Amino acid sequence: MKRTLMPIALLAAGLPVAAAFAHAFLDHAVPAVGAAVPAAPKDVQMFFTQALEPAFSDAMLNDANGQPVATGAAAIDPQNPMELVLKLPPLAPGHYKVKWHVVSVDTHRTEGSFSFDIQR
Amino acid sequence: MAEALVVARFFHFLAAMAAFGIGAFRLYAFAGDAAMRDTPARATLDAAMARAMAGCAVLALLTALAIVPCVAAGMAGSAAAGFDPATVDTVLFATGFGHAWCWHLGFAIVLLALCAMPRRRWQEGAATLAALLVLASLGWVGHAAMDNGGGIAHEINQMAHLTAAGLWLGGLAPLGILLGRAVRRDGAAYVPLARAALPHFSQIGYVAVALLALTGAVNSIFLVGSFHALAETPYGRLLSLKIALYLAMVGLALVNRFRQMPRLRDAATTAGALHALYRSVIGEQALGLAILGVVSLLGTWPPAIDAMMDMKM
Repeated sequence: MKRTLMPIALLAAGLPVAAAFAHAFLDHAVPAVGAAVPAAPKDVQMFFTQALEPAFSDAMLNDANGQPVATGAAAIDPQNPMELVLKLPPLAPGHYKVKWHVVSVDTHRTEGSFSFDIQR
Repeated sequence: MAEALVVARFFHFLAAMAAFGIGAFRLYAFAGDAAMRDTPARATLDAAMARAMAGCAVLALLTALAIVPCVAAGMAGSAAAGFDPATVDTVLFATGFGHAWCWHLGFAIVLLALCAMPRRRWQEGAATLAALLVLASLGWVGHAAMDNGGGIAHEINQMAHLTAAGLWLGGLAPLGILLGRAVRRDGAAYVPLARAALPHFSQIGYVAVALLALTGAVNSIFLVGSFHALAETPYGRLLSLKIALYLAMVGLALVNRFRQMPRLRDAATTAGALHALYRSVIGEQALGLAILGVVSLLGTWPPAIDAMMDMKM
């Protein structure tokens, strides 16, 4: 048994611990989750833990009253398949909520939301 | 729709593994045994194997098609979207899953066409190759298809894992068919066939069992990452159950190899050994089905490596 386990152990030890994630979760965003920013950002950049399917990944923006802000569809960054970008119109100071839903390249759907504030 | 996906995956894995297991068995089980080539029992057995393989090919294609609306519903986030032509079109032609699945469906169609053809010399080999492609191309979708981190290495590893599983788990289907005939009251003509096939199956089994352990360990590193995650996350616990079922199968296989197979050499103990082997193969098949059930569920759960990450957040 030892003989068969040794190569497995050696292989396991030699493998770099790859940052492989099978469902796409939000890793971080710009503006940051819960942040208060001094000026209106021109887009929201969302960085996920896995590459996304463009056809099934989108985000929406609501203002403090829960009213949707007209933004157009979110797009995957051409340079980074793990980044979803939502272009923003000029925004007034206030509280905003981003709702996202994405499908990772292994077909799993995840969704979530986060807020940020634009300071007066 | 999530439940439908688990059920469709179960029958799809079953059909793909059994199809390849049967095809491969037909090629290796009696290799080199010229004496058995033209017996009536061999011809009857071959016909039964060919029918079983064709049945698997039909089931593989139907379940591969059924998986499409299930996946589409999951991606779009609503059950109705699974039957929306525009959504299905997008899933098939504008996603990574769809790209791989078009190939997979193509292989399944080729397999079915080859199984439906009248028997020719090259047809057995070609059908087995098609079955291999159906099975191995499952490694292009799902958790192994994450293109960051593991990438190609993970996909190749998963293809090897599936192939080994097809040889062993899938091979239990034809072995069960053969032993089922050999233990019948009127099955004496099949006894020499069983005696010839068992050592070949056993040799293939050694390789497949070792390859399963190796590729399974590599897979776990990709998807679980640590012993802690194996014990502490739902995905890890379900994977631990799969490993336990696998070890139980290996235990049964070892008993067969070292207790029952030597008894086949002696004419006085052959019948008893064949009955014991048949019962054991049925038991292994049940364990194998349980493993496929676990796998069908696992693929739809977030891997432990994600769950650990989620806890940190």
